[in-house]
This record gives sequence, C-alpha cells and structure tokens, in this order.
Amino acid sequence: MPREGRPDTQPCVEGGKDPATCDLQWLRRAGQGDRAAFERLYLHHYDRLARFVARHTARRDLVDEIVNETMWVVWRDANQFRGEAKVATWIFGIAYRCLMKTLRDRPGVPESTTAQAEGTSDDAEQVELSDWVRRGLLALPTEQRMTLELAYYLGQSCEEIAAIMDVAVGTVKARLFHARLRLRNTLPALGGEDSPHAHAARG
Amino acid sequence: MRMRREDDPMNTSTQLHRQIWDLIPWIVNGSASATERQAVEDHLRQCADCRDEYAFQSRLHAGIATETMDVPDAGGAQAQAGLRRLLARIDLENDAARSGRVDSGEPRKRRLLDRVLIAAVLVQGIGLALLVPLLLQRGDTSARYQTLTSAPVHASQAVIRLVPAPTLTLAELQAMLAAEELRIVESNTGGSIYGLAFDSDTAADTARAVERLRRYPGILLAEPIGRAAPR
Repeated sequence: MPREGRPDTQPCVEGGKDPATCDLQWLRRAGQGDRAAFERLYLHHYDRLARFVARHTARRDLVDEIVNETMWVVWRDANQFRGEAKVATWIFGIAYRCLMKTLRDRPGVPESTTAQAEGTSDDAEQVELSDWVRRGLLALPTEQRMTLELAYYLGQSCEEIAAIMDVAVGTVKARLFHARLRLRNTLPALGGEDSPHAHAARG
Repeated sequence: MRMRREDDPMNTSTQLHRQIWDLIPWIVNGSASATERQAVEDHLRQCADCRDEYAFQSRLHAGIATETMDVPDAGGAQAQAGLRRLLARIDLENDAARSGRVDSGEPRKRRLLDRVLIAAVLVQGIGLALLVPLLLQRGDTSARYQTLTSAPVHASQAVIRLVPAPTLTLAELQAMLAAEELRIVESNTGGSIYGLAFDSDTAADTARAVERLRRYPGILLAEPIGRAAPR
C-alpha cells in the first residue's frame, strides 16, 4: 500500500520540510545509488563541514580533501546508517574522525586563520573578541578544543557531541569542564568585567 | 569585578554548582531542555559565582560562534568543484572495483584449483597411511600374478586353456568345440583366453584333446591346465 505523501519518491524541498527529514531522505536514496540525492546532501552540508574543518588548518586543499573524504565515506556507508542519531550528527562524526586522522598523520599542518572583518567598529570588536578566543583555544588539548567548538561553533548538544566523538556523555562534560578551567586561566581579560570585550559582548 | 584566584568556583563549588556548571554550555548554545534552563536560571538568581561563569561562557560562545573562518565562497563554486571531484573519484573507484573483479577472476579459479589439488593429495596420503598397515598385517607374500598353467581350477572344471587367433571366426570355434566335445566354461575379460571342459568327463583324455586342438589353424595356444586330472 503506498504510504501517505510518498516521502521516498517526492523531491525534498528544504523550505517545506525539516532539515533532518530532508537529510534522512537524501541519505536513504543515496544508499540506493541515487546520485542526485547524494549531491543535495553534499551541498547541504558542505558549508558547515568546510568551516568546521577550516578551524584546524589554513590549507584550503586540505579542507577540501577532508570534506571529500568525509562525504566519500557517507556515500560508501549510506546503507549502514541505523538512525540512532541525526544524519548531520553521523556525518560530523565521520568528519571528526577524518580530521583527527589528518591531524595525527600530518602534525605540521598550519593552523587556520580568521577572516578579516570589514568596515564597522562592531565588526572590529568582534574580530578582536574572536582573536582572543582563538588564542585561548590554541592552548587547549585537541580533544578539549574540539569539544568546545562542537558545542559553541556548531551548536551540538551534549549527546550529539558524545555521538560525534564516540565517547560517553560524562566524558564530554569532563572535557568541557577542564577546557573552561583552562580558559579561565589563559583568558583572564575575557572573563573580567573591566574587559572591553565583555562590554562589547553584552551590548 | 575580576574574579580572584581564591574565589574560583572550582575551589568553592558544591555539587550543585558543578551541576549548574555542567549545564551552562547547553543553556548558552540553546540545546538544553526547558527544565534544565529553568533550573539554571533559578540558581543564577542567587549565585554570583555561577552568574559570572555564565557570563564568561556567553562571551566565549560569542567569540567562537561568530568567528568567520577563511573559507571563501563556501557553499557555491567551491562546493560545486568539490562535488565534481568527489563524483569523479566515485566513478573511478567503481570502475576500478569492476575491473578488479574481472581481473581477479582467473587467479581466484587458480587458487580454487590449487586448493582442490592439495585436498586430493591429502586424501591420498590419508588413504595410504591407512592401507599400508593393513597390507603389512596380512603378511601375504605370494605373487599377485599367475601364469596360465598355474591358474587354479575353478568349480567350472576347466581342463584346457585355449587361446584362439583373432582371425578365428565364431563359427569355426563352435565347429571345433563340437568336434572335440568341449565347451567354454570360463573366459578372461577380453574374451581372448578360454577355459575348456569336456561335455562329459567320463574317460576324457585331456592330452589327446590338447594335441588335436593344436592342429587347428586358428589356435595360438592349447594346453592342459595344471591341476587337470591325471592321465
């Protein structure tokens, strides 16, 4: 009996459906060899993947390489997705492993750089704040830094980060706790009420 | 007010403070549940240390979340170019996988044949290992062959061994046997050697019968069988 709405055969329109639903449909169809669905999945996630990876390397070619390695695994293993997490979480878990492997295999990879803000003083203050934060993040162990970035850059929940990093929820909390303690020591100005960044952030 | 080292929440926090600390990141990034958010807000109203931590995390979040990485044109031409490269790679690997299957067919057959031959050798070896002790136990050293004259007399009572020439016709053979009152009682597998017995064994003279048989042109060999009745 045909299912209502025939979700597997109708094109997924992002504006009309939940992104997670679109992701799942594209992934299922990609698992059946549907290249068009895979292309939509790729383009849908490229931006966030590239920006997340770019936080750890200034080499543009390496960013592309890691993103494509990630999406190649997605294409290859699409049929193995069991739906235990969101498709996006699953993809970022793959990206995390690809990124960590690259960082391990190529220890000399140059760190990323932030784009220069243009024009307004608000932008300049934001860049200054970001620069402070970046210096603090560089002082963290990779696992703690990744945890913090997954939480604050990608907005992942604690459970999602645990799935991405393939660790227990308690480990995520512990890493975050220690990362924050360390930043408290390395970024004293950021935490002080006298800091201009504090005023800027509080508006 | 800048927080002093001795006022660090890590040093002074109770279990409740630690729980609030653990929840703050998820309040800041918006992934906490409504219940968790309510619990944190209730606590922050009465805890200056945790309010300070909340403010610190909010600024940290602002510094990270709004950071613009140097990824030019990240969802447009760059994404399309990356996609084209990945699709080309997928095509290439699919082709390689297909040709790999074709190429590897012959070696696989060869490996299978090797395995069958090895198995056959093993089975032979096991068979020999079982057979040799049995043969040794029997202790039978007699020859495994016998001459025409030493062949035992069977119950058929063959008394003459006859080897006709291949040119001897069946009719000639039948006429000869009828004249000598002989009959074929045994034969070898190929039908080239016959054992003959007299139609009636009363007063039959094997030696004379042999002599007569030898005179037939189509007979290569005729001789009495070793255990024939004495003359």
